[in-house]
Amino acid sequence: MRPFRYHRPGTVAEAAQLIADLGEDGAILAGGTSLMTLARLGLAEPQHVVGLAGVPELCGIEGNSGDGITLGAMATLRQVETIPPVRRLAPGLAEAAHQVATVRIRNQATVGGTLVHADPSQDLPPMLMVYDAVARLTGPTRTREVPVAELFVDFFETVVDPDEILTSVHLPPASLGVIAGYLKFLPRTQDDYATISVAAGLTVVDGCIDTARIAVAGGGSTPQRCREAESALVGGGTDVAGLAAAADLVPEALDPVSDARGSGDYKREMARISTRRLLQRLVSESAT
Amino acid sequence: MTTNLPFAIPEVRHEGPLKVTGHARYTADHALPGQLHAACLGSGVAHARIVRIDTTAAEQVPGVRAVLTAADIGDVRYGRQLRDMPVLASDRVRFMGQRVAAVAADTRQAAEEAVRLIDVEYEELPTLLDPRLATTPDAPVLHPEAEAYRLVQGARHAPAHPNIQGELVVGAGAEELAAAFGRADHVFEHTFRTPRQHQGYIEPHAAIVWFDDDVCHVISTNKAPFGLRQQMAAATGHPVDKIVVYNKFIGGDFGGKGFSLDEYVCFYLARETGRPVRSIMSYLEDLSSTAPRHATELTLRTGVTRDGTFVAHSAEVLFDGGAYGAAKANAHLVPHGGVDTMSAYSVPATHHRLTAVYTNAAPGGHMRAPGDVQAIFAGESHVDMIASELGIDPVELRRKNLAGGKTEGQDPSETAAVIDQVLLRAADGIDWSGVRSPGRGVGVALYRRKGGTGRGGVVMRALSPDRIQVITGAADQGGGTVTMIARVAAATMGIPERQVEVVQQPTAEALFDSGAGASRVTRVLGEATRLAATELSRLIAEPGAVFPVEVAQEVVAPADEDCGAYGALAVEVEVDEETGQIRVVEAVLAADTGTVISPLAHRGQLEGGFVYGLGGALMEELPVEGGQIMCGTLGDYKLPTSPDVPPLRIVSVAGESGTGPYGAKAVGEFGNLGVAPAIANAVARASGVRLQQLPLSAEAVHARLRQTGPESAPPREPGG
Amino acid sequence: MSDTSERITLSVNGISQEVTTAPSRSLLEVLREDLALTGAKEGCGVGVCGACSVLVDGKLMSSCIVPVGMVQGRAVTTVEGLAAEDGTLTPVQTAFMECGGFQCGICTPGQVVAATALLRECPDPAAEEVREWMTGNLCRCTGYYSIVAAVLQAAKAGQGESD
Repeated sequence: MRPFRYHRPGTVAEAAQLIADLGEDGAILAGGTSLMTLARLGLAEPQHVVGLAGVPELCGIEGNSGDGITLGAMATLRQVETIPPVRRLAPGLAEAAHQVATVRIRNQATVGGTLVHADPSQDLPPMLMVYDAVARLTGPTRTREVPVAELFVDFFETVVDPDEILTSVHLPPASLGVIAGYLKFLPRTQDDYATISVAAGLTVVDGCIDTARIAVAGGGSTPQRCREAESALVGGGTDVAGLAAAADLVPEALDPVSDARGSGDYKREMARISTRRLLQRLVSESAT
Repeated sequence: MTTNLPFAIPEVRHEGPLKVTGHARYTADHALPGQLHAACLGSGVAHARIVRIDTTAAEQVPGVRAVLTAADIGDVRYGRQLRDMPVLASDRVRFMGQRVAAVAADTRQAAEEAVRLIDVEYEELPTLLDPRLATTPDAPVLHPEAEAYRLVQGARHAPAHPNIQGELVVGAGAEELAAAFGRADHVFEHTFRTPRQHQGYIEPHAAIVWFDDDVCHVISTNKAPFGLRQQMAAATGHPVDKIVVYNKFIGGDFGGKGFSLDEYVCFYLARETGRPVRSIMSYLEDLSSTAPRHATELTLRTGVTRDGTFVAHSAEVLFDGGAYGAAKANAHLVPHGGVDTMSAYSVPATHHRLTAVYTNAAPGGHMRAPGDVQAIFAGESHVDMIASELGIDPVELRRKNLAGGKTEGQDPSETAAVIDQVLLRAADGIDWSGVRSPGRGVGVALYRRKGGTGRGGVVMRALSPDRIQVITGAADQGGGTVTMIARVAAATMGIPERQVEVVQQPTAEALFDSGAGASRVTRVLGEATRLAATELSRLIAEPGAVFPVEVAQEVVAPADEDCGAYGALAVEVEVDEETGQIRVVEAVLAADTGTVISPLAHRGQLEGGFVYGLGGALMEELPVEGGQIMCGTLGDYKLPTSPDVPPLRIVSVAGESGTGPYGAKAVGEFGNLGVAPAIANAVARASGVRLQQLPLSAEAVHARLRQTGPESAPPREPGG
Repeated sequence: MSDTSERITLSVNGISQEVTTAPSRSLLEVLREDLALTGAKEGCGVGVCGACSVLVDGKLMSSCIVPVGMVQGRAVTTVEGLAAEDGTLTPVQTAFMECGGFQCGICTPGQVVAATALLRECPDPAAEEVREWMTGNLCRCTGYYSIVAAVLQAAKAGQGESD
């Protein structure tokens, strides 16, 4: 791999200035699991790297039921998996984080990195969509908020501008009441990327589905919400037929690539089956 | 004699402390003063004529000491037997990743930068990617100069078509075979396919080469130091006695480390620069340019009488040999194990034709029981399919046909009784006849694996009555060679193991050794140690013995030695009828593997072999599209991880004595053999889906379940 | 290629080290080539196989995909830093010996470091937890059975020590 210069800003402002000045020659390095892998394979050749490890304001996870949960961009996936506020208030998110690759990767990979890298197979983004999470982006002149569901544009491409830094992700308090879960379909090994994975969240009131979220990873060029399936659930009961009918709407929303993890058609079909199974699980959890 | 042997006590690996503390030094861990770093340019096309190579820019990178192409070193060809592989491609490239140019530089970064600046102009040629088309009239001829190719030792028998690498035909003549098939009530024919698979060792190939005057020194990951020395001499013309190979720790082999590539490149770079040159392959290079298991197509035909007796069997086995035959270690240039389609059975007339052909892919190589894995997947699936069609229980059909079981006019031999026990213990272990819930089923595979063959020796030296040294030239790829030798020596001499020191010496010091392959180490070196120790005990007991006392002992295990171990693997699987996912619930491996010298290593080989087979059965595949490998990292070429592994029980069956020391048998290429067919058979019985192609992926099962339709559940194969 | 070298200080196995190097080089390469600590190995080179496992500030990481620039001022522990100075093996190392938890040994330094990290976080893991934690450390020789047994045995030995 080609050598690069390493910059160590101490604040978000410094980092934003650096990345603006470096332009196309620069790349942000959070945990390194994606950028270093790409660089080692010769698929990325940045001349300058802006390491965010020394920016305290990007670290940490805070949360309570009144304010929601805020994940710093440099919070590791291992922190998301293990930290009590997440486990208690957004267990679906802890579950999805737990299923990322291996503990070694989770110790290194970060919330910000997994979002900005925009690999459509990553585990956290669909679950963040289920929790209506909003990403906060800071640029040289402004700070803006973008729902995670609107963050992704294409393979490895987001709406984050080249001079912006994703600083945190916020799960609003209203989202924390859902019963959420994650189903990662791994027909080969436990450390693999998913063939397809589904995140879903429901609220059930008096046996009737009040709110629903379904998002899929590995189903196309971006992780995506399946709004038609969600709509089909809302207002309906929790009977298997209803859940299955909603799940049947998921494949149409997807356009997965064929690769070593399965053909596009197979992934679509597995998305349908995984969605139905996950919804059944969530309904049974809601009943207890 | 065998009653008081101390082998039941678990061994303590002599090299264990070095390995658990990180102090064991593997090839890539060596750094020599003044050493340069090598990097190679691999071909970016699968088949092309090289029009021009421009190295000007590469030569100007600071720190670059040498840039070599075939124009500098000539058309140098090497191989384990067939010398058809160029060190650097001269006029044409035949697979993507083939070495075209090599750089030595002060740093790895400079070498890699220089490689990026080498400019090659190719004129692309038609590719041959499907081995079935290799001998068709329109097939491009990959090696127009094939007639000139030489073996490392001796001349080569010219094949019938230039695209044929090698061929082996064994068994009954046409007339006898036809007559035997004529006695059958049914003839079954099935075709099976297995993919190209990578050995998956964690240590990529690496080498360091330096010259000391005219002596060439080599540290490498090659598991057969003497073979490498001879192959390097044959290729480069450097005298064999002026090449010294030092190989001690090898980070996984599984067949792949018998073949060397960049040792040759380093040889020329070291000669050019006068400095030590080290090459360490990236895993991408290892996946794309070393020698994976041959993709194979096998068509099996078996004649069976009404009562299920096998009367005739033939197999056509076509190996995708890749662009070069260089990685194969036998003079027939085919993976020999391809003949073992029915080796656990008694069949009066058999015929096997094994053919390896050239294609524009990485050269086919050896991988943990080369040929056997493919043959046993096909053979044991075939037997179950026959059982299904005849409506006979698969275990009963096997029992009816055991090897040695029905020689006319004689009682079944002891061999047949042992195989029967092996089979029954596996079947009982999995509760063969038990009632199972829907989606579950059991399957079994039965096989024979031949014992180790080859040549090797040790020098044993008594420095004093209680200080014994054993000198070996063997490299240890993990099987526990050093500890095994020490245990055999100590047991034979009746002394504590701590009094025995095993010293691994380079090729210049030690007796010849065929290398750690073909499951030979315990058979050959263990037996050499036993014989040497016996003699040494006698010599030092003589009155007036003068120390040191030394004994040299060589052993040759002939290729036709009739010694084998039988194994049966039974598994229970659960098939998810919606996703096609196969979960192996449990496995039982019954084996007659003889006297166990090192219990931990023995169990480790069987367990590790089983999981190795599990990966090969369920997930491993190195697909090539248009000459390009589609799995460039271990992130895509998946190997089983610890939670992917089902419970495994190992059942030892007392059988016939092995030809190794104290009746030991080979187990290194044994535990993996039955896994794929046992799972395929279990899947057929659980779900009705019969897969004749590896890997047994969830999607493949799913596709077949869909074909038969979700409403009309496919008929399950009977008997379980 | 412009010179990107800088001076990086880090603690390795409790000893302060200063290296002048391109910060883009992997921590693994610097440990192996500049500091002669060759216990951690390069296998896959992309963070999958675990042969390069080290601890960074106590956390298990893949040193092959950590740029050395990132560990400026941080504490790294490699397999060489586990055994006592007199060579006494840790309970994990002893258990790998006694259970046959290795064959070729190339993955073993990574396995030992990973197991050590597990037992520091979770001194008494269930077999399932061991299997799951060790997911990231590929072994092609053992089939993992003896590795899991070794980690469980080490946990038991560690319990004995603390009682």
